[in-house]
Amino acid sequence: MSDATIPGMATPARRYGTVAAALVLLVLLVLFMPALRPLFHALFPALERPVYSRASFLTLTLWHIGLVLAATIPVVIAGIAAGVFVTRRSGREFAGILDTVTAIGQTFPPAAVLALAVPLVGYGAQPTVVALVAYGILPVVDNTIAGIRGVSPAAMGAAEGMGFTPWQKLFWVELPLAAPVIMAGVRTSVIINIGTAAIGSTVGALTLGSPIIEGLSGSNTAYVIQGAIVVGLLAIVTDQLFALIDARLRRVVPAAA
Amino acid sequence: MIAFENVNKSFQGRAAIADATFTVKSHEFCMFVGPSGAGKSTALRLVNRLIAPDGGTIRIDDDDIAALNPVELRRKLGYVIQSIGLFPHWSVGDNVATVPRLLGWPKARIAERIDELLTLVELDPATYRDRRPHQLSGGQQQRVGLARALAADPNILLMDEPFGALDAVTRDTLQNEMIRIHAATGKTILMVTHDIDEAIRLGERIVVFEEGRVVQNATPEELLANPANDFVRALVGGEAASLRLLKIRRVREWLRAGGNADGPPIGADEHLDTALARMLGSGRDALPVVDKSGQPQGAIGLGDLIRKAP
Ligand SMILES: Nc1ncnc2c1ncn2[C@@H]1O[C@H](COP(=O)(O)OP(=O)(O)OP(=O)(O)O)[C@@H](O)[C@H]1O
Ligand SMILES: [Mg+2]
Repeated sequence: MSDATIPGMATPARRYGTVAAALVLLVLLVLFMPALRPLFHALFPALERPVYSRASFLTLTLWHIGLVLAATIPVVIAGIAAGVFVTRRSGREFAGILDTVTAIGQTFPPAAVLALAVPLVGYGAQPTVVALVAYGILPVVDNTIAGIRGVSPAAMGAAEGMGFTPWQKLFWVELPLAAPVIMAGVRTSVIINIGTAAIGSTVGALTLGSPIIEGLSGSNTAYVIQGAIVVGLLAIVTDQLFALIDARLRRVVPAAA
Repeated sequence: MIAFENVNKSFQGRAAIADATFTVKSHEFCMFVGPSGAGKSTALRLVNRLIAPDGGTIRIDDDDIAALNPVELRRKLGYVIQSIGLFPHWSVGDNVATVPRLLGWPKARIAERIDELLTLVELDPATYRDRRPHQLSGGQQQRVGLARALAADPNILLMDEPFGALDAVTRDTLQNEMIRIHAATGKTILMVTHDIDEAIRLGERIVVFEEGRVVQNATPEELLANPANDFVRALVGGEAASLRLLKIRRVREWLRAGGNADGPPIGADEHLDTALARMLGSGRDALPVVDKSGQPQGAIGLGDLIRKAP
């Protein structure tokens, strides 16, 4: 009806166009990578097997997405819960500790987290998920705190004065108004973890990192390129999908909030 | 009825409210005036328990509010905050419906009430109901804030500088609206302002705060005629207080029954400042006075203004 257009934003049509194009390219590559054999053969004539074939790219991609999702769900739930907790009066004193813990999680190199997780949970997918959780939680926590602290004090004052219970304040005012900022944290977390998940292949997880790592150790540049392109496209498509969500949220929560 | 009994409140050792005792009667329109930092907002926020007093008692209709559930209490009191504070992610209609929704009114009744209130504050429901606060002007937002406070038909309305950031014309319109709403509904209203003219125009009772103390609690007429101290005297404008008095007194109060004057008449319900302005503007020293139905009531002249002024 009265959708305010926000200046400097891509039109919805153009936005959908970009997402669709990147998505189509991603799907084609994932399904038909072996069809590019002649291309890679021409580029790297010395290679006997110029297209990675130990697992299909579909399998690799699904595993990759699965690992990121398996980490993102606990990251979102725990990250938002922790951010909400330390912005309550009763949890304020834990803000410092939480900050330290999540910052350590992020400063640790993912390879080190993986190495530490293996003795605990074994090889394969599990240590990868552990590393992704440790790695992805900081942006969600940080943005939840920033988003809630950024809620207009006038709106909070009105809510308090009109008789909202603490839960009503949280779910009707704070979380909806903080949603775009929280979502930006989730976006960062997911994009970081799409990249980080590739390293999981060093501890035996099946991911889009598998061709990259095998290519690096076996001097097969074609494998490296194949894995890297698909990971890159996956990150771009995901980021664009978040951009669509963001545009939606910002229509609900005006910038002037 | 709202009664403050020896109420104290300090922030970091500084008294924001110091031993305040006063009573606001039911249906009364009461204004809190005073300079910035005098404790007006604090006094208001003590009433809906956004702030707890350090000492003393506040009663609403003989109930000590300290014994009431704060959330329930707040839902019973209409509250307009100093910074409006509309919920930016909700439509105008949803904003207005806030308290009815908290109270669990049925949907149909809420929808009806939204339109009723938007009409009351002179915003066309069809045009504004589905708009968002950022699509309204400042004055329209203040109207929505007022409608929101009135939504559940509270007996008591707490208003913290509701017309603070408005131009003179919009302010004037909204003041008239408040007078109309108060006359129509008989609500008890506590309104904070630092504008003495607003206080005199709207208030039936004015409580003057200075550094947390209640320095005077009086009707506008008493305040203008007998300021309690130099501070209040300066607040009401020193000698200009007599001009302010003309703004609240009506022609019928000071007219000479049976008096005669020539020229176009003035209504008996007009304020005296209007009569004075008309004398100055038309070069006459007296005006004939008529009532609503046009019946002659007498006359009002410059001499009457001078004789009756305190
Ligand atoms: N929550 C608070 N914490 C600390 N000090 C406060 C708090 N609220 C008010 N004060 C102090 O109490 C005093 C009175 O404040 P209050 O807000 O009641 O003033 P006011 O009369 O409403 O002023 P204004 O006209 O500027 O709104 C001020 O000195 C203020 O700094
Ligand atoms: Mg104030």
